[in-house]
Amino acid sequence: MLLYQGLLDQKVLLLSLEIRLFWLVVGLYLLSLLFHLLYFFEPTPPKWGKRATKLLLMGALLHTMVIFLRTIEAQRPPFQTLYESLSWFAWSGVVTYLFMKRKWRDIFASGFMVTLVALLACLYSLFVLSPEITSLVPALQSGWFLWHGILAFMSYAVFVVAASVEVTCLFFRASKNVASRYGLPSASLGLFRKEASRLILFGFPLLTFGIISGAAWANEAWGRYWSWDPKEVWSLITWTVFALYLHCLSLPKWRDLPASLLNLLGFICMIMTFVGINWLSKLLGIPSLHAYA
Amino acid sequence: MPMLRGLWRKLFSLKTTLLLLSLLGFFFILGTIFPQGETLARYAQAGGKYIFFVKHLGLLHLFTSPTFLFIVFLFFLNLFLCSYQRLKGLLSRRPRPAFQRAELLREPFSRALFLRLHSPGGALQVETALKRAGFRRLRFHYQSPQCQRFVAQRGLPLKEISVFSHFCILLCLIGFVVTHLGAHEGEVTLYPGQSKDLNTLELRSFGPFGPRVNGLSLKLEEFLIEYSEHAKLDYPKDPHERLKRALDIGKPLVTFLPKPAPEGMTVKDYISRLVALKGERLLQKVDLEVNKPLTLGGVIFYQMAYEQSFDLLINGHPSLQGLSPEKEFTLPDHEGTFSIDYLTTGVLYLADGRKEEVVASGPLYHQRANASEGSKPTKVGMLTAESPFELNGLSLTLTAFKQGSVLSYRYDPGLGLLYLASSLFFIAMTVRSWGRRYTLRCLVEEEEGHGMVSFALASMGLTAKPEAVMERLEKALKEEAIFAKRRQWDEERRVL
Repeated sequence: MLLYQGLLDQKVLLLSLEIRLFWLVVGLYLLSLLFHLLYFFEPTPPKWGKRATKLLLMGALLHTMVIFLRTIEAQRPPFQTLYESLSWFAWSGVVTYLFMKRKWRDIFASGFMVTLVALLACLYSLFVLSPEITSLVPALQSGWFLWHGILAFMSYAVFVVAASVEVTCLFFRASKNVASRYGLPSASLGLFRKEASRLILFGFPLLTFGIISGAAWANEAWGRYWSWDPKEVWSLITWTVFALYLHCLSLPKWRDLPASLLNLLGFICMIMTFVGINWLSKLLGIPSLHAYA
Repeated sequence: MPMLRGLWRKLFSLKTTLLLLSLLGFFFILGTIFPQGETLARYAQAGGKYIFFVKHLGLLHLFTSPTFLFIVFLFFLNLFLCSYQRLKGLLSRRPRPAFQRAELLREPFSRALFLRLHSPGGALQVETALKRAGFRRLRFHYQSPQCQRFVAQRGLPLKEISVFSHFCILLCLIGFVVTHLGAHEGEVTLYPGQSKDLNTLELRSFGPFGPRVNGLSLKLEEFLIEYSEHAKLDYPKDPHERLKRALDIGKPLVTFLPKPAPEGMTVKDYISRLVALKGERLLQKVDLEVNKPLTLGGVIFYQMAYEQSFDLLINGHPSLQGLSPEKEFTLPDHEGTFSIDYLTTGVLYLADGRKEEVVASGPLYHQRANASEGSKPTKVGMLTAESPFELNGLSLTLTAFKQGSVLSYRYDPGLGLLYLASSLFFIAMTVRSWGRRYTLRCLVEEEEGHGMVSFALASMGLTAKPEAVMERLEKALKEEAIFAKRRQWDEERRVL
């Protein structure tokens, strides 16, 4: 009993530390968001943009520690519950954005949306969801869990950044004179927009792997690789929309605004696949095998 | 005829692909709003809306509806014709290159260099330079001693890989059809000691393919549930309280409340210990678990569920036999109905690493006779196997407890094709998206030891870096021109 109590005390310590660090991460993301907002009012000199990016980087580093702590506590990859998945999703999005930012040092506008999405995900986790660490249910005890989770979330993160780039470009398309103040003269705007298509070109195979690995895993666990489960179908919808986007780039009349709108639609579908389907299943009373995910 | 030709062209047009993908997407969205595979009666009972439209449009069976299948067929046709046309284009003889300098220099990645070339043979020098830059010649046109054209390529054959990946999608669609036509599944329940002759399973063949289960049987030796110890997390639900606790450094944010069995237990695994036999000969002993299916004679067995049965002694007499979890029963001199939830039994793995046997026990619930609809039954106690439980003067004892494993089985002739096609598709698509290819068009215009070399570079793929390749090309061409100059001096000196 003493040994067990000792184990529980250790769990209390680690979980308390993890949650408090997570709150700190949220604080940094919130500050970064505010600085991004200030950047919109005062883009030159880009001091607010630089500070926002630095805070985002600090938040990402601390978030990495939170995820690392979670992995140690749970002794498994930290994306089983919705709490963990949202944290992982937020972290992936921020890290992907910072990685992409290396090439576009003077452009800070697209950081606003990425930071907002990450912040909302983290706030929802902290305020609404239980941080309880649960053991893996039998259906999740598979080698596929790690790779399906990692690559699917990586694709989500890439699509978030692609959507933020697209929103930035659409906004500045409408007001080209303003764009140059935000580090995006006309010549650079086209190249920056191309970054969105490059991101989707990177993320699309990852999403494809997520679907294929999910089907292989379902076959191993439940005996059917496809059950027309709402989550499965929404991932297919997301895939279809991005396939449409990539094909649109081959057609001159479709590669501009229609492709941009498809990119944003794909982002919405991705959000539906990830979190929206839990809500939709409850609303419509449609059971889903993925209800725990 | 022009109309037919137009229709034919539309069949493999990219715009048709966009339209068909959009239609498929629309059907997919509808399929997530209406529960697929459900009966209309159950849909209505569950409070489903728009019954008229659901019934007449077949919204509960969208993915097997003729409309959806027709769209999938058109998609298959479009994909096949599109891929075929592209493949035909790749394999056919290309026209002679006929580009001019002005046309090349309009491209975003293009240059014109004025170089000293060893004349005649300047084109050969250029080709040598291109080879040094990693390009291989695809096509060459010799117009005159003063004018030659190259088309060269470097990198992966991305267009060919793209066509291949589209053919893999076709194979996947064929695999789905084979599954739809030939797959068969069912369930078999086994209690410890029971065996099942696989010949008696409801299986069918698909053409020449079929399960090979003659003489095979499966016997269950033991069904086991493993649990792990779990302490409940005590954490406030109120968001303000959560924030307050987070800011209160020095006090623990959370507490854990250890719970006694069975509340403090979570399922770790379901294990069916099976023996596969061919006649009397032992083939293999296997522990079947979720995510660890068993393949026998082409049929795959999965751990799906379990069932329990038990008897209830009332005051020592065998009064209620063959009860199952959640099945309602009545007790003498007691109003309302009773039920027993699933019994917890198996092996418990404690947090400190020890193992404990869990004796079968489960909660007893009571539902009042005049209870309103939707009201939940009340828990009145815990029943443990072979231990009497006192309830208002009655002594209840759980006995003759049995637990069986429910296995699902499936035979799917399309599975092998699907694994192969989807893997190839994924690899091909990833290489096509992430790989790189460069196509160079080069025009060499020579005149007495000098030449204008104009070239334009097109690139494909995510990792393509046309700027770097342009620099490398320019460097290679200038080096070749310098070499040519040095070679020419060497020759001139030798002559002198």
